[in-house]
Amino acid sequence: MARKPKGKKLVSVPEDTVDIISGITRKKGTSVTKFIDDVLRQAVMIDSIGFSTEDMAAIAEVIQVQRVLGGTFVPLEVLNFVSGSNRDEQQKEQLEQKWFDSGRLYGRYIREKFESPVTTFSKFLRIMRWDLNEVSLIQNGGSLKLRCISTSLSLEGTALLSKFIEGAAYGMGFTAKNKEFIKGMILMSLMPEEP
Amino acid sequence: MEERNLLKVARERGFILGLENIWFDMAELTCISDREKAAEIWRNAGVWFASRYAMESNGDAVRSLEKELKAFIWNMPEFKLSQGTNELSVRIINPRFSESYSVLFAAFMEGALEALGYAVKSQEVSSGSVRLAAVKGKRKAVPITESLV
Repeated sequence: MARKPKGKKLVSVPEDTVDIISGITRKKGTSVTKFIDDVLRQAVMIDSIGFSTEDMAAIAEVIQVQRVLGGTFVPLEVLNFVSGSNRDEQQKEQLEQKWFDSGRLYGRYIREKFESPVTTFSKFLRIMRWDLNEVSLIQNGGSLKLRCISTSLSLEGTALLSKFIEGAAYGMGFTAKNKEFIKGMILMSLMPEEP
Repeated sequence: MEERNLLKVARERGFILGLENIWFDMAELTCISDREKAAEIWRNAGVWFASRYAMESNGDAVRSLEKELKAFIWNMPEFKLSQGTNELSVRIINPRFSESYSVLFAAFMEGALEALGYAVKSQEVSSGSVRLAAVKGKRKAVPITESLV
Protein backbone atom coordinates (compact mmCIF):
# COMPACT_ATOMS: atom_id res chain seq x y z
CA MET A 1 0.00 0.00 0.00
CA ALA A 2 1.38 3.41 -0.93
CA ARG A 3 2.41 5.54 2.03
CA LYS A 4 0.43 8.73 2.39
CA PRO A 5 2.78 11.72 1.91
CA LYS A 6 3.25 14.03 4.91
CA GLY A 7 1.33 17.27 4.76
CA LYS A 8 3.30 20.49 4.26
CA LYS A 9 2.66 24.08 5.22
CA LEU A 10 4.30 27.26 4.05
CA VAL A 11 6.24 29.29 6.60
CA SER A 12 7.99 32.52 5.67
CA VAL A 13 11.70 32.71 6.44
CA PRO A 14 13.77 35.88 5.91
CA GLU A 15 15.58 35.77 2.59
CA ASP A 16 19.03 36.41 4.04
CA THR A 17 18.56 33.46 6.41
CA VAL A 18 17.62 31.21 3.50
CA ASP A 19 20.72 32.40 1.61
CA ILE A 20 22.96 31.42 4.54
CA ILE A 21 21.23 28.04 4.81
CA SER A 22 21.61 27.49 1.05
CA GLY A 23 25.36 28.00 1.38
CA ILE A 24 25.56 25.42 4.18
CA THR A 25 23.38 22.83 2.41
CA ARG A 26 25.37 23.16 -0.81
CA LYS A 27 28.53 22.28 1.10
CA LYS A 28 26.81 19.41 2.92
CA GLY A 29 25.08 18.08 -0.18
CA THR A 30 21.63 18.17 1.38
CA SER A 31 18.44 20.12 0.68
CA VAL A 32 17.32 23.38 2.30
CA THR A 33 13.99 21.77 3.23
CA LYS A 34 15.67 18.85 4.99
CA PHE A 35 18.07 21.16 6.82
CA ILE A 36 15.26 23.38 8.09
CA ASP A 37 13.16 20.35 9.05
CA ASP A 38 16.09 18.87 11.03
CA VAL A 39 16.78 22.15 12.83
CA LEU A 40 13.13 22.65 13.74
CA ARG A 41 12.88 19.10 15.10
CA GLN A 42 15.96 19.77 17.24
CA ALA A 43 14.33 22.97 18.49
CA VAL A 44 11.22 21.03 19.51
CA MET A 45 13.38 18.55 21.43
CA ILE A 46 15.34 21.33 23.15
CA ASP A 47 12.03 22.87 24.22
CA SER A 48 10.83 19.51 25.54
CA ILE A 49 13.78 19.29 27.97
CA GLY A 50 13.19 22.76 29.32
CA PHE A 51 15.71 24.84 27.38
CA SER A 52 15.02 27.71 25.01
CA THR A 53 15.99 27.60 21.35
CA GLU A 54 18.63 30.27 22.11
CA ASP A 55 20.35 27.59 24.20
CA MET A 56 20.91 25.29 21.20
CA ALA A 57 24.31 26.72 20.31
CA ALA A 58 25.31 26.87 23.98
CA ILE A 59 24.47 23.19 24.44
CA ALA A 60 26.73 22.25 21.53
CA GLU A 61 29.47 24.45 23.04
CA VAL A 62 29.05 22.91 26.49
CA ILE A 63 29.49 19.43 25.05
CA GLN A 64 32.54 20.60 23.09
CA VAL A 65 34.18 22.19 26.17
CA GLN A 66 33.44 19.10 28.25
CA ARG A 67 34.99 16.87 25.63
CA VAL A 68 38.14 19.02 25.48
CA LEU A 69 38.50 19.18 29.27
CA GLY A 70 37.64 15.53 29.86
CA GLY A 71 34.00 15.62 30.82
CA THR A 72 31.91 12.63 31.68
CA PHE A 73 28.49 11.73 32.98
CA VAL A 74 28.13 10.30 36.47
CA PRO A 75 24.96 9.17 38.27
CA LEU A 76 23.58 11.97 40.45
CA GLU A 77 23.09 9.45 43.25
CA VAL A 78 26.84 8.84 43.25
CA LEU A 79 27.56 12.57 43.52
CA ASN A 80 25.17 12.87 46.45
CA PHE A 81 26.85 9.97 48.21
CA VAL A 82 30.37 11.20 47.61
CA SER A 83 29.63 14.70 48.83
CA GLY A 84 27.66 13.28 51.77
CA SER A 85 27.74 14.46 55.35
CA ASN A 86 29.77 11.50 56.67
CA ARG A 87 33.12 13.02 55.70
CA ASP A 88 35.61 14.19 58.30
CA GLU A 89 36.99 17.73 58.18
CA GLN A 90 40.16 16.71 56.36
CA GLN A 91 38.21 14.90 53.63
CA LYS A 92 35.83 17.83 53.26
CA GLU A 93 38.77 20.17 52.77
CA GLN A 94 40.33 17.81 50.22
CA LEU A 95 37.07 17.57 48.29
CA GLU A 96 36.56 21.32 48.33
CA GLN A 97 40.09 21.89 47.07
CA LYS A 98 39.52 19.42 44.22
CA TRP A 99 36.31 21.16 43.19
CA PHE A 100 38.04 24.54 43.38
CA ASP A 101 40.93 23.30 41.20
CA SER A 102 38.57 21.75 38.70
CA GLY A 103 36.56 24.99 38.53
CA ARG A 104 39.77 26.97 38.02
CA LEU A 105 40.73 24.80 35.02
CA TYR A 106 37.24 25.18 33.59
CA GLY A 107 37.23 28.95 34.10
CA ARG A 108 40.70 29.37 32.61
CA TYR A 109 39.66 27.51 29.46
CA ILE A 110 36.44 29.51 29.11
CA ARG A 111 38.38 32.75 29.56
CA GLU A 112 40.66 31.81 26.68
CA LYS A 113 37.89 30.65 24.38
CA PHE A 114 34.94 33.00 24.88
CA GLU A 115 34.54 36.77 24.69
CA SER A 116 32.19 37.07 27.68
CA PRO A 117 33.51 34.33 29.95
CA VAL A 118 31.28 34.93 32.99
CA THR A 119 28.07 35.10 30.95
CA THR A 120 29.17 31.96 29.10
CA PHE A 121 30.01 30.23 32.37
CA SER A 122 26.60 30.97 33.90
CA LYS A 123 24.90 29.67 30.75
CA PHE A 124 27.07 26.53 30.81
CA LEU A 125 26.33 25.98 34.48
CA ARG A 126 22.61 26.02 33.80
CA ILE A 127 23.03 23.45 31.02
CA MET A 128 25.53 21.19 32.82
CA ARG A 129 23.77 21.15 36.14
CA TRP A 130 20.12 20.42 35.49
CA ASP A 131 19.65 19.97 39.22
CA LEU A 132 19.84 23.80 39.44
CA ASN A 133 16.47 25.52 39.20
CA GLU A 134 18.00 28.93 38.64
CA VAL A 135 21.35 30.38 37.64
CA SER A 136 21.29 34.16 37.37
CA LEU A 137 23.98 36.72 36.76
CA ILE A 138 23.21 40.37 37.53
CA GLN A 139 25.43 43.37 36.90
CA ASN A 140 25.79 45.17 40.24
CA GLY A 141 27.92 48.29 39.85
CA GLY A 142 31.47 47.18 39.11
CA SER A 143 30.81 43.57 40.04
CA LEU A 144 28.64 40.68 38.90
CA LYS A 145 26.26 39.00 41.31
CA LEU A 146 25.81 35.27 40.76
CA ARG A 147 22.90 33.36 42.28
CA CYS A 148 22.24 29.61 42.01
CA ILE A 149 19.18 27.95 43.44
CA SER A 150 18.39 24.26 43.64
CA THR A 151 15.61 22.48 45.44
CA SER A 152 17.42 19.14 45.26
CA LEU A 153 21.02 19.96 46.31
CA SER A 154 22.21 18.85 49.73
CA LEU A 155 24.16 21.23 51.96
CA GLU A 156 27.39 19.38 51.14
CA GLY A 157 26.61 19.39 47.42
CA THR A 158 25.94 23.13 47.61
CA ALA A 159 29.29 23.68 49.35
CA LEU A 160 31.19 21.77 46.64
CA LEU A 161 29.41 23.55 43.81
CA SER A 162 30.17 26.85 45.51
CA LYS A 163 33.87 25.94 45.52
CA PHE A 164 33.71 24.97 41.84
CA ILE A 165 32.18 28.36 40.98
CA GLU A 166 34.77 30.15 43.13
CA GLY A 167 37.53 28.31 41.30
CA ALA A 168 35.98 29.08 37.92
CA ALA A 169 35.74 32.77 38.86
CA TYR A 170 39.43 32.75 39.75
CA GLY A 171 40.27 31.03 36.45
CA MET A 172 38.29 33.67 34.55
CA GLY A 173 40.18 36.50 36.24
CA PHE A 174 37.65 37.38 38.93
CA THR A 175 37.72 37.31 42.69
CA ALA A 176 34.71 35.84 44.46
CA LYS A 177 33.53 38.07 47.32
CA ASN A 178 30.58 38.16 49.72
CA LYS A 179 30.27 34.39 49.37
CA GLU A 180 27.24 32.90 51.02
CA PHE A 181 25.69 29.51 50.77
CA ILE A 182 22.93 27.67 52.50
CA LYS A 183 21.36 24.36 51.48
CA GLY A 184 20.30 24.78 47.86
CA MET A 185 21.40 28.40 47.45
CA ILE A 186 24.67 30.07 46.47
CA LEU A 187 25.23 33.81 46.35
CA MET A 188 28.50 35.51 45.47
CA SER A 189 29.83 38.68 43.90
CA LEU A 190 32.49 38.44 41.23
CA MET A 191 34.95 41.33 41.11
CA PRO A 192 37.35 41.71 38.17
CA GLU A 193 40.95 41.31 39.31
CA GLU A 194 43.10 44.41 39.27
CA PRO A 195 45.36 44.43 36.17
CA MET B 1 24.14 9.85 19.74
CA GLU B 2 23.11 13.35 18.74
CA GLU B 3 24.52 15.82 21.29
CA ARG B 4 21.23 17.44 22.25
CA ASN B 5 19.64 14.04 22.58
CA LEU B 6 22.57 12.97 24.76
CA LEU B 7 21.72 15.64 27.33
CA LYS B 8 18.05 14.68 27.27
CA VAL B 9 18.77 10.98 27.77
CA ALA B 10 21.37 11.67 30.48
CA ARG B 11 18.90 13.81 32.35
CA GLU B 12 16.22 11.14 32.15
CA ARG B 13 18.69 8.47 33.31
CA GLY B 14 19.71 10.51 36.38
CA PHE B 15 23.23 11.33 35.16
CA ILE B 16 24.99 14.61 35.72
CA LEU B 17 27.69 16.16 33.56
CA GLY B 18 31.00 17.15 35.10
CA LEU B 19 34.74 17.01 34.68
CA GLU B 20 36.19 13.54 35.02
CA ASN B 21 39.19 14.65 37.09
CA ILE B 22 36.78 15.50 39.92
CA TRP B 23 35.09 12.11 39.70
CA PHE B 24 38.40 10.25 39.62
CA ASP B 25 39.66 12.13 42.68
CA MET B 26 36.38 11.66 44.50
CA ALA B 27 36.46 7.95 43.72
CA GLU B 28 39.85 7.76 45.43
CA LEU B 29 38.56 9.52 48.52
CA THR B 30 35.42 7.42 48.82
CA CYS B 31 37.30 4.18 48.29
CA ILE B 32 39.70 5.13 51.07
CA SER B 33 36.90 5.94 53.50
CA ASP B 34 34.26 3.33 52.66
CA ARG B 35 35.01 1.16 49.64
CA GLU B 36 32.13 -1.27 50.16
CA LYS B 37 29.50 1.40 50.56
CA ALA B 38 30.84 3.30 47.53
CA ALA B 39 30.73 0.12 45.40
CA GLU B 40 27.18 -0.55 46.57
CA ILE B 41 26.08 2.97 45.54
CA TRP B 42 27.65 2.52 42.10
CA ARG B 43 26.11 -0.93 41.74
CA ASN B 44 22.68 0.45 42.59
CA ALA B 45 23.18 3.22 40.06
CA GLY B 46 23.97 0.52 37.46
CA VAL B 47 20.80 -1.40 38.34
CA TRP B 48 18.77 1.79 38.09
CA PHE B 49 20.38 2.75 34.79
CA ALA B 50 19.88 -0.63 33.10
CA SER B 51 16.41 -1.35 34.45
CA ARG B 52 14.97 1.04 31.93
CA TYR B 53 16.60 -0.86 29.07
CA ALA B 54 15.25 -4.11 30.41
CA MET B 55 11.75 -2.61 30.41
CA GLU B 56 11.83 -0.38 27.36
CA SER B 57 14.11 -2.04 24.84
CA ASN B 58 12.50 -3.86 21.92
CA GLY B 59 14.50 -7.05 22.06
CA ASP B 60 18.13 -6.03 22.29
CA ALA B 61 18.57 -4.37 25.67
CA VAL B 62 22.29 -5.21 25.75
CA ARG B 63 23.02 -3.37 22.48
CA SER B 64 20.93 -0.38 23.60
CA LEU B 65 22.80 -0.25 26.90
CA GLU B 66 26.18 -0.50 25.16
CA LYS B 67 25.28 2.24 22.68
CA GLU B 68 24.12 4.73 25.29
CA LEU B 69 26.93 4.06 27.75
CA LYS B 70 29.44 4.59 24.94
CA ALA B 71 27.81 7.97 24.32
CA PHE B 72 27.99 8.91 28.00
CA ILE B 73 31.63 8.00 28.50
CA TRP B 74 33.76 10.00 26.15
CA ASN B 75 37.34 9.19 25.25
CA MET B 76 36.94 5.51 26.10
CA PRO B 77 39.39 3.62 23.89
CA GLU B 78 37.57 0.34 24.35
CA PHE B 79 34.12 -0.46 25.63
CA LYS B 80 32.68 -3.71 24.36
CA LEU B 81 29.84 -5.97 25.39
CA SER B 82 30.01 -9.40 23.69
CA GLN B 83 26.91 -11.53 23.89
CA GLY B 84 26.78 -15.31 23.49
CA THR B 85 23.77 -17.61 23.84
CA ASN B 86 23.79 -17.54 27.61
CA GLU B 87 26.88 -15.48 28.37
CA LEU B 88 27.86 -11.88 28.26
CA SER B 89 31.33 -10.40 28.61
CA VAL B 90 32.36 -6.81 29.20
CA ARG B 91 35.72 -5.39 28.23
CA ILE B 92 36.64 -1.85 29.17
CA ILE B 93 40.01 -0.22 28.63
CA ASN B 94 40.61 3.35 29.69
CA PRO B 95 44.14 4.29 30.72
CA ARG B 96 42.82 7.35 32.60
CA PHE B 97 40.74 5.23 34.99
CA SER B 98 42.47 4.93 38.36
CA GLU B 99 42.27 1.64 40.21
CA SER B 100 39.53 2.98 42.50
CA TYR B 101 37.48 4.34 39.62
CA SER B 102 37.88 1.02 37.77
CA VAL B 103 36.58 -0.85 40.84
CA LEU B 104 33.57 1.47 41.12
CA PHE B 105 32.83 1.35 37.42
CA ALA B 106 33.00 -2.46 37.54
CA ALA B 107 30.39 -2.34 40.34
CA PHE B 108 28.22 -0.11 38.15
CA MET B 109 28.47 -2.58 35.25
CA GLU B 110 27.78 -5.52 37.55
CA GLY B 111 24.54 -3.85 38.66
CA ALA B 112 23.63 -3.04 35.05
CA LEU B 113 24.19 -6.64 33.92
CA GLU B 114 22.17 -8.01 36.81
CA ALA B 115 19.27 -5.74 35.91
CA LEU B 116 19.37 -7.27 32.44
CA GLY B 117 19.21 -10.77 33.90
CA TYR B 118 22.90 -11.69 33.97
CA ALA B 119 24.92 -12.69 37.02
CA VAL B 120 28.62 -11.86 37.07
CA LYS B 121 30.63 -15.05 37.57
CA SER B 122 34.12 -13.62 37.30
CA GLN B 123 35.81 -10.27 37.12
CA GLU B 124 39.28 -8.86 36.60
CA VAL B 125 39.70 -5.26 37.61
CA SER B 126 42.90 -3.26 37.60
CA SER B 127 43.91 0.33 37.00
CA GLY B 128 42.43 1.29 33.60
CA SER B 129 40.92 -2.12 32.85
CA VAL B 130 37.66 -3.89 33.66
CA ARG B 131 36.69 -7.37 32.45
CA LEU B 132 33.51 -9.07 33.52
CA ALA B 133 32.07 -12.42 32.53
CA ALA B 134 28.39 -13.06 33.25
CA VAL B 135 25.86 -15.82 32.68
CA LYS B 136 22.18 -15.52 31.98
CA GLY B 137 19.37 -16.87 34.06
CA LYS B 138 19.78 -15.38 37.48
CA ARG B 139 17.05 -13.32 39.09
CA LYS B 140 17.02 -9.71 37.96
CA ALA B 141 18.62 -7.34 40.42
CA VAL B 142 16.71 -4.69 42.28
CA PRO B 143 18.34 -1.63 43.81
CA ILE B 144 19.36 -2.10 47.43
CA THR B 145 17.47 0.43 49.51
CA GLU B 146 18.69 1.88 52.76
CA SER B 147 16.14 -0.12 54.70
CA LEU B 148 17.60 -3.39 53.43
CA VAL B 149 21.21 -2.54 54.22
